[in-house]
Amino acid sequence: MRLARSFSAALHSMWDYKGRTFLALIGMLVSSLLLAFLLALLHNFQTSIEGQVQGFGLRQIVAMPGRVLNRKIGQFDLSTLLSITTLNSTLTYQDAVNVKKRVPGVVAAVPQTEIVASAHYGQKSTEILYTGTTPAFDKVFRLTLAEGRWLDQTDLQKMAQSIVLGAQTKQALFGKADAVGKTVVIKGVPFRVVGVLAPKELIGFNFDERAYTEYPMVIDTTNVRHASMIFFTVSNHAHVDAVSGQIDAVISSDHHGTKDYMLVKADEALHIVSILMKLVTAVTVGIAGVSFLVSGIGIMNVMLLVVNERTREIGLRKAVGAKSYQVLLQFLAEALIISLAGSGIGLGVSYGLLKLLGYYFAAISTQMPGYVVEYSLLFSIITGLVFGLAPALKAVRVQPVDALRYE
Amino acid sequence: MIALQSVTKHITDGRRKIPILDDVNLFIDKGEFVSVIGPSGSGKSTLLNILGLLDKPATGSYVFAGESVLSLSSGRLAAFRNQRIGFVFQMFMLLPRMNVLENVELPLLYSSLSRRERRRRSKEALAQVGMLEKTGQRAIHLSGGEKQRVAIARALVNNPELILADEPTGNLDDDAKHAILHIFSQLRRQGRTIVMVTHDVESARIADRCLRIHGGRISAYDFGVGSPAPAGLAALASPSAAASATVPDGASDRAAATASDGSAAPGLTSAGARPDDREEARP
Ligand SMILES: Nc1ncnc2c1ncn2[C@@H]1O[C@H](COP(=O)(O)OP(=O)(O)OP(=O)(O)O)[C@@H](O)[C@H]1O
Ligand SMILES: [Mg+2]
Repeated sequence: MRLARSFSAALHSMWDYKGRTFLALIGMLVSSLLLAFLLALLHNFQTSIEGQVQGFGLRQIVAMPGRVLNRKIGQFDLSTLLSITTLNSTLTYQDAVNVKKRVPGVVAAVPQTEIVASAHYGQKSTEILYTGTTPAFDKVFRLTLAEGRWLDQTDLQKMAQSIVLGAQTKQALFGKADAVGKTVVIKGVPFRVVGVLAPKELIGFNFDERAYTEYPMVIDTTNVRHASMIFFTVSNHAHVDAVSGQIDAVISSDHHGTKDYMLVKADEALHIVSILMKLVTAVTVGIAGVSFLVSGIGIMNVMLLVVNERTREIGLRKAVGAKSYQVLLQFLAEALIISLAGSGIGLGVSYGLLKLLGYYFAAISTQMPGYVVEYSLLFSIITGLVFGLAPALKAVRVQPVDALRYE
Repeated sequence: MIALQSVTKHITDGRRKIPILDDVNLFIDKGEFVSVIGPSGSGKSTLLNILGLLDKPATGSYVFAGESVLSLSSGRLAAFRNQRIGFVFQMFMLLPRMNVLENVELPLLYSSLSRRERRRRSKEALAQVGMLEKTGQRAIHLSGGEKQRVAIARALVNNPELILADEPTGNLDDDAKHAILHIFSQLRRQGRTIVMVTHDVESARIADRCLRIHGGRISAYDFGVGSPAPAGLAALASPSAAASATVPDGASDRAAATASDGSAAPGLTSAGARPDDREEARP
């Protein structure tokens, strides 16, 4: 009841100082907008990535060139991430074959190699990643075909010069026309198009600007000798760590003990993503914190001015019986209302921005997670209370006699 | 009702102490109407602020309704001001952006009354000063006389035992002044205890007794033998005339009766000064 009266008195006087209240409110609005929008964006980005990694499969292990020196693989943190040494690949088709043969837990071992090349169809040509792989590749990535079929075992055995185009490659060479059955020339070799992939987005991978053929074809037609990556699918998610060790043993013995590759598990990739997200989130919260600080000082300034101008009123209220705590509450309530209103509007605007963003970038989800709302409101309440305290205490210290003498 | 003893008050200007009140003794009975007259800067407002628990004297004691109030906490003092004292401040002290009703309601915001009750009492107080038609008007748009009436209504709204008025007729033209004095004489007849500060002799006359403050000291004021009250004020000042005028309730009749019979004024058996005392009594 008393609290309600403090709030209504606060609302009343805020209305009398619309201009200033508005300015103080803007600061809070911006801070809250910054915090809520960026946090929501990060949240959505992370869920998108996690969704994709999980879509790629938690049973996957990827061998890729590069090393973390003097460190055990599997213990990733941010500094290891930054100390990865890139190396020329020494991975081979044979590595994939050997692992598949010797490690029973591996159900698929798919090498991939690629080089930039141009693809020609009639008068048209386009730059592509000329990619060699094996028929199991589409199982690993769960590819969907827009036309035709994926490479199969016969293609591989007969070196059939079959090719599957990525969505954008097809678009560049054929436009809307059908591609299957047509002949595309890459590195002077004519390939028969057997399939076209549906567009696919997976962060960190590029499917659309490629042309896929049998692995040996790429080796034969270019000077590339090594696989850029080998994808392993493990039969059971629970065995990923053990199988990863076995794969490591096989490849390293084939490479005569030289460790110039690393094995990355999907779990680890997620872990890295979450580490990065934590870092970015911390930075965001830090920046927003500074912004809240600035807007808090803004509120304090406005409130100090208001208290100064209303010395007479405060003195009068105390003279007719307002107790110190009632004066304190009135001015704290005022600071709190400014900060909460600013924060509320800021949240609304960031929600709107998020939806707008989702409209233009369909790949990003547009949720406003509950914790973001809670954080923003909590920040603004704390800011309002902390920075409202000094002006409110100043109001409490007003002596009625002095204030009534005030002209 | 009020016993102020050996009260001093001074201000410090650098190292120098400038006295404002010097050994003031003042006794006021319940139901008395006392006016305090004195030149500008003589300490009238200072005295009233002390009586109204807004200011504290440097030395001395103050007993209000049997309670020694100088030792009370600020919270208790606020409650005293809120419930037992009505203060008409010098220069109106209305909140310009609020309307008349809200201005009058202000003290009740710090009571535990419901909104309905607050509104009812505010209107009642406004009716007493004849400002009921202007409840919705903003204070800033009122005339001086109207502002003063609203300020009086605000002082009445908590139904106080003691009403303190600082220059309620200052800066007003004759008509407005008479209207205000009329209100005060009505309040007097309701049996309220009133202390009214003024530097206007005519206004001071309507009180039961008049004190003069000069050089920080208080003494009884002598209007001068045979000086007649001005025509308009005579009706207000003379209790017998007042009894026949307006306010038909029983309380006013009783008050008028006791006032016309000077010795029967309520509570005058204490050490308080009588209207006809030359010097303020000192214990
Ligand atoms: N807080 C203060 N600071 C400085 N001087 C003060 C203060 N309070 C009172 N005084 C001085 O004390 C003296 C008495 O002041 P007070 O307001 O009581 O006079 P007053 O009799 O009410 O005068 P007026 O009729 O002009 O209202 C004045 O000289 C005034 O300047
Ligand atoms: Mg004064």
